[in-house]
Amino acid sequence: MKVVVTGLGVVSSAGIGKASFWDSIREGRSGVKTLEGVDTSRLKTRIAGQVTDFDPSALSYSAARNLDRFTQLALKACEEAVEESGLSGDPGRLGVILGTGVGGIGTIDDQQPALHTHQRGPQILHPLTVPKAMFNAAAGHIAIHYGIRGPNFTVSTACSSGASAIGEAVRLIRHGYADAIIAGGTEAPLSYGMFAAWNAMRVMSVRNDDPAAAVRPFSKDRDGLVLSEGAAIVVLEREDLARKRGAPIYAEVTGYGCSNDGVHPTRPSVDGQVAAIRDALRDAGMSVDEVDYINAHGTATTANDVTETKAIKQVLGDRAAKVPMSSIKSMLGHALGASGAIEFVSSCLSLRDGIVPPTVNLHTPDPDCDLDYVPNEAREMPLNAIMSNTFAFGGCNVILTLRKPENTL
Amino acid sequence: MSTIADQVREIIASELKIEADSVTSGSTLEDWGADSLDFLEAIFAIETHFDISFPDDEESRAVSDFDSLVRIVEGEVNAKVAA
Repeated sequence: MKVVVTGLGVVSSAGIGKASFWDSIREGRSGVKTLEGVDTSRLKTRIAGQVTDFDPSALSYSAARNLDRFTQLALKACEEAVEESGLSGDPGRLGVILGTGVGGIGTIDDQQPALHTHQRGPQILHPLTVPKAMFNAAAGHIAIHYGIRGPNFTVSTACSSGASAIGEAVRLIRHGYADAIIAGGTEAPLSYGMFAAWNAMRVMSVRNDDPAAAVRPFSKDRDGLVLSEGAAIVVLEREDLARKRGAPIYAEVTGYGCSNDGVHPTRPSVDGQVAAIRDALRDAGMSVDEVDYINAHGTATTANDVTETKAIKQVLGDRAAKVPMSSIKSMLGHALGASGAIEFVSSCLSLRDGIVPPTVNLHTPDPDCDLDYVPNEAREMPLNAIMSNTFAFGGCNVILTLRKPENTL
Repeated sequence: MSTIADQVREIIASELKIEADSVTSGSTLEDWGADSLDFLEAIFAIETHFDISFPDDEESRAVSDFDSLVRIVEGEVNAKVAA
């Protein structure tokens, strides 16, 4: 059974809504800025991909005001995707599958100072701390908002979470457990404690004076990733039902592959990535010759960029150098569990428009990164099939493949 | 200065988005159309406003009417003043 994408929604540091997002990405505009609202005075990194101009009180879901930001961002992206899709059907046959790496960490984090120092101590905690912070809060509230009663769960595979959610949703539909699923990823990790924790890992760029130029995937002068927030939601449906109701169709999701490195908690492995890529291609019944473009994981850490390049070369062989592969994290920063879903949305828009977004800030390639990373400027080209890579702490590798639908938008 | 009962009434009305007139002596959670989660938030707002903590006893856990609520708040506020 084929599964297609009938609606897209995105909230990102480079734009809210897919029109604004896609304008930025195509034109190579970065969403990385000086981080506001967090005391960064004692931190080495003071920049982030923050979502600005977002007003949760304007959400159509009336209870949105009092939710964690990761749920609010998901609701915003969901509004756009569901409205575009015109999703309908038996509520028991509709599902919600989301991914998040750190869930409602901000709700916990923001209350730590009061918990430890306020005279009322633990009594100062908000009574809804638990339901706000729980990882499945976003998926739960989406189901409440739309009255959806089918499968509902939240996956957490760190930076692959959003892609895992889309892949798992595709499988549920393929195997008949649902007719349509709202799927995607959401992340709001820019709270003081979480941001400081990423500083402590010493993997973030310190190019504080030039935020837009900070994320430099595959570049010799890279100095790490930039943390960001955001959400992306897609509506996935059985193709026959989507066509029957005349829904807009962006893409067919053809393959989902996943593997684990089984080696190290944070260091990526070529073998693990290769296994996931092969798994996705096998699932799609696709040969390497059919891949027109790869949306890279491309975090701008040495460990990622070199490993990802090696894995692609191993699977694609001679063809690797001919297939463009770009990292939109160069503009957005790394939205952890949302990133895979945001990149999936970007890939759907690439298919629609025949446009490959660039890897910006790439002027001096790392000698160990010698593929075509689409440096600095978007490229127009015919696109029929795309592969989207995500790799994560915990050794979780998740690959999605998508292709142009038979009757395009 | 308004009484404790008046202040409690204002907070409940504002948190539950209802008219203050409906928060009267003898009225209950049911009259206000609030569920237990909404009410937890109202209690939290009351605690924050008066800088008190509701005791974690049976009465406080079961409270669901205006008069009991005011009695608990008065008790805690007076205990704070005495301390």
